[in-house]
Amino acid sequence: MNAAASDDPARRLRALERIWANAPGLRGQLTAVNHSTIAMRFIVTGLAFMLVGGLLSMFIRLQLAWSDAQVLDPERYAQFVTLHGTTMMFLFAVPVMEGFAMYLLPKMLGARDLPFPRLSAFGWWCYLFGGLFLYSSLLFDAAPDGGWFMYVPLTDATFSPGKGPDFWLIGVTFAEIAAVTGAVDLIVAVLLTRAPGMDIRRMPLFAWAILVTAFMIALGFPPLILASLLLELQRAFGFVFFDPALGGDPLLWQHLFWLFGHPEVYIIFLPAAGVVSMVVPTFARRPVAGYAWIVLALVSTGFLSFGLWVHHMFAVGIPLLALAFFSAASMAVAIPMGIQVFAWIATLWSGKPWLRVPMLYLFGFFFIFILGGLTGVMLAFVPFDWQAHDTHFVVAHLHYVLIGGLMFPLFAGLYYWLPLASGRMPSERLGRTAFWLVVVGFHLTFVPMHLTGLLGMPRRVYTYSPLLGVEWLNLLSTAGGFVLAVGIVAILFDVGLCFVHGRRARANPWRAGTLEWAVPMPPPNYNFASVPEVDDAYPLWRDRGLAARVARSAGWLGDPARGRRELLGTGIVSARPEQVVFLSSSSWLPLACAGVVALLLACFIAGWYLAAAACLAPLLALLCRWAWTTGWPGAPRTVQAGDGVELPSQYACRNAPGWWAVVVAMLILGSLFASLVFAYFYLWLGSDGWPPRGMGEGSPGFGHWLALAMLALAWLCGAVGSAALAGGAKRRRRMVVPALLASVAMIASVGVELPLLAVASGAPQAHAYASVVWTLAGFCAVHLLVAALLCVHVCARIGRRLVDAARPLEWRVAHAFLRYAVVQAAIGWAVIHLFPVLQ
Amino acid sequence: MSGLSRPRRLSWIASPFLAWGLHFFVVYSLQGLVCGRGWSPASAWWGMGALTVAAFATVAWIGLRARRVVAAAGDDAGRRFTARLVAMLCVLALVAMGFTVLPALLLHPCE
Repeated sequence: MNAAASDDPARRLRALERIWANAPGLRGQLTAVNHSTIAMRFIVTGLAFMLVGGLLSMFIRLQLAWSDAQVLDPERYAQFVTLHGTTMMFLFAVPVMEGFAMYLLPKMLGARDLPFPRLSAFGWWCYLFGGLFLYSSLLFDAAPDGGWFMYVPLTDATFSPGKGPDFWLIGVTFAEIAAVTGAVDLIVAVLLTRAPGMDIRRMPLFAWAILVTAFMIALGFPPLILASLLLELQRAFGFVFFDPALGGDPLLWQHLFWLFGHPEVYIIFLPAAGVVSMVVPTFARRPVAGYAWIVLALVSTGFLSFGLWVHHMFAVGIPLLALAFFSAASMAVAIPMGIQVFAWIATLWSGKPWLRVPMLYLFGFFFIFILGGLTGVMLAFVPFDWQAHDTHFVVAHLHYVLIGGLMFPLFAGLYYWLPLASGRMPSERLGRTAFWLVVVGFHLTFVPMHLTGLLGMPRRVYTYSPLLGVEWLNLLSTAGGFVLAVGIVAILFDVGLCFVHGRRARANPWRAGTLEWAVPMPPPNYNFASVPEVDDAYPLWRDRGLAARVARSAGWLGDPARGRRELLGTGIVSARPEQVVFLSSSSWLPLACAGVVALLLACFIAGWYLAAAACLAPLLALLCRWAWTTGWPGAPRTVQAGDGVELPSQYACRNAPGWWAVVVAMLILGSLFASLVFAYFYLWLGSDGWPPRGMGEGSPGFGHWLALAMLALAWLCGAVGSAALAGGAKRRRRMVVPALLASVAMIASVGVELPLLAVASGAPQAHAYASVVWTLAGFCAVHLLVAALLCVHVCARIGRRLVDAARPLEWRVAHAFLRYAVVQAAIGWAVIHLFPVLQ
Repeated sequence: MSGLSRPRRLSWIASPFLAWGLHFFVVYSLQGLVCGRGWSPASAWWGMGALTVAAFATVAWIGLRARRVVAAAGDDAGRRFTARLVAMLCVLALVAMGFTVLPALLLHPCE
């Protein structure tokens, strides 16, 4: 791009179009990484899975319409219940909300894209393949039937010898990759890519909600990923984590599952609450009341939700005091939830409410969600829970919470942001008709379930006794279910119709105040021709010329002369411009990586373990290629960011997105590791002797101490490398030698420790002690090997002069991971070798 | 307050409920250890009492520090917002902690 071209505004816009465009045709679809494209895919795929999950529920309701109905046999009924719950929780609720966040956040924050576009695309492919994996089980007549919670021993190899649980464990874990990668992307986006001036008291509440939710995903999903891994190890290789005859404990699964499962409810709800906090002020025509109170509620709900998991286990025989802790925490969470509801009511009360379709859905949300919350408080009482446990009362409660708390705000958001995405207005009449169908259908379906549950009708069972006298209530539920389904189809029909036949929308049709409405409708791939600067939480209400200004390619990053996809990086708290972030463009790598992972997992399900292991080689090669080509490796140290301001590129900036991504990744891995250590101590707590007689080896021997010393050496080498870099090492050897030595030390540590441990702890199939020790040691070893590989990668980059004292980012990332892996391995070493001696 | 102008200010917002989480986790673990390992109930009560006092003191200290920052923030609206948020979170964390630990006064650890 020449200088003359970059001075002409029209040519600048054309250049931006070209830089940010997806490639044409099918190739473009397969290689796209742009956030709007990927987010739309998340939303459409999520809604498609919702339709499939809803269809399954229609069959379930038909089966329950009469006590002697023959629509589904017991086995098929269990499969449909399992797939319905799994689909709605894992393939609809979380991905669709992440899709909303991926689409909206950059626009709300004044950014052009998410900071890790390839990661977003990789997440979507994993999600799609994971969902298809799960449903492919129907083709092999091996659909999982153990419930969406997959309790053991029902799902272990003895009681579920088929492939059903394997499809569930592998398919869901595969799909969860999307949630976790999305969390990394969203956290870094909120922290680092806000428009200049958008400090933390001016952040849209949706961004706060997504920030809290993404941290919850980072900490809450790993326990389930670990539980799935342990159960798959048990099913595939005969490990015995959950086998009480060999020192295992089936309750370990429940603890790990619900450690994920209860935060999951709030992972679903908080983004929806964020949607409510955006829609309510627009239709009340005033800023939200109690901004700080809502932030307080979001943060505290995020934490409290991790103290509720045992309230799903009230009936398993845990001591009363422990139940009381969780009962109290379950009631305490009602406080922040109530704060949010009162803040929304206060906003409406003090504003001039405008009753359009999005607001109708929010009124539906208020009514339904509060009822669901109240039955939740009832179930938090242990004596009541014992009476209602595993009845349809719980089914009614969870649907009031999830449909009220997720789907109504989701539909409100869908109608609210539809003009932004499509440039057209949805039909007000069809929207209102669909709303009333959904509200009436919903209550007809689920109000009777409270009664059938209280009368003793059990859940997850394909029939019920006619003596209960609940047939007419069930018939009513079934009829209501079909009305609800018609309403949802009407909504989706309306949305689809809007894209084709909707009336052209004028700019900012709801007269909203937040930044996403400053983007042209429908938005171009680059969102903003120049990055806006804001000085209020509702910048469009305060500055009416803002939308016109950001449509001109002047100001921050207005000049696309470098021909690269660029973001403006700002300070975490202050939102002052700090860096220019160069992004990766369209690429085959996300699809290729997800494809190889899919192949690996397919081989694993088929029992071809060698073939699965062989897939690791191409996967590793692709990931190395990914790491080598990410961003703009040759970016200069500093670049012009607009208005004559020169900023460092991300490779030279302390708060680089890559740095924060590795911090979040360490949180995720730390949660996974903590869950594994929890499993170790949980099994120890229920054991008679630890290690069991004939296993373990007393005090650690020379070899184990040597392995620990190797870890210390790796740490030391890392520190020497960092010191050399900080000192501006002129000679590359000063950096490369310690990094390579650190790699060798970590590999040596693994090489010394693992064979000794394998001999001492015995076969992992012999006892839960050996199972958990093997897993813990393997987990630490994998991290050390990855850290060693990262060090080698950085050495290669140093050799190519892509990393040096002025551009230290990649070494900082590798060094952070090295330190994490070493500390984790040292803790694992202490748990395995010192704890049995000291106990 | 020089440290608060740095990125860690965001983690400051998490600190009151991190203390709540730590307290919850340790108290629940202690109860499990007492029942699982057959320790005396008195050790549970003393342990939980000491942990609760320590957690209350920590959160109260964070809250008082936040109040001082509110008073000293002057025209720095961002800093004042953060400090006020932390102070409010401390109050809620104290309520949650008190509410959660209340059953320990009423129930035997291993019934």
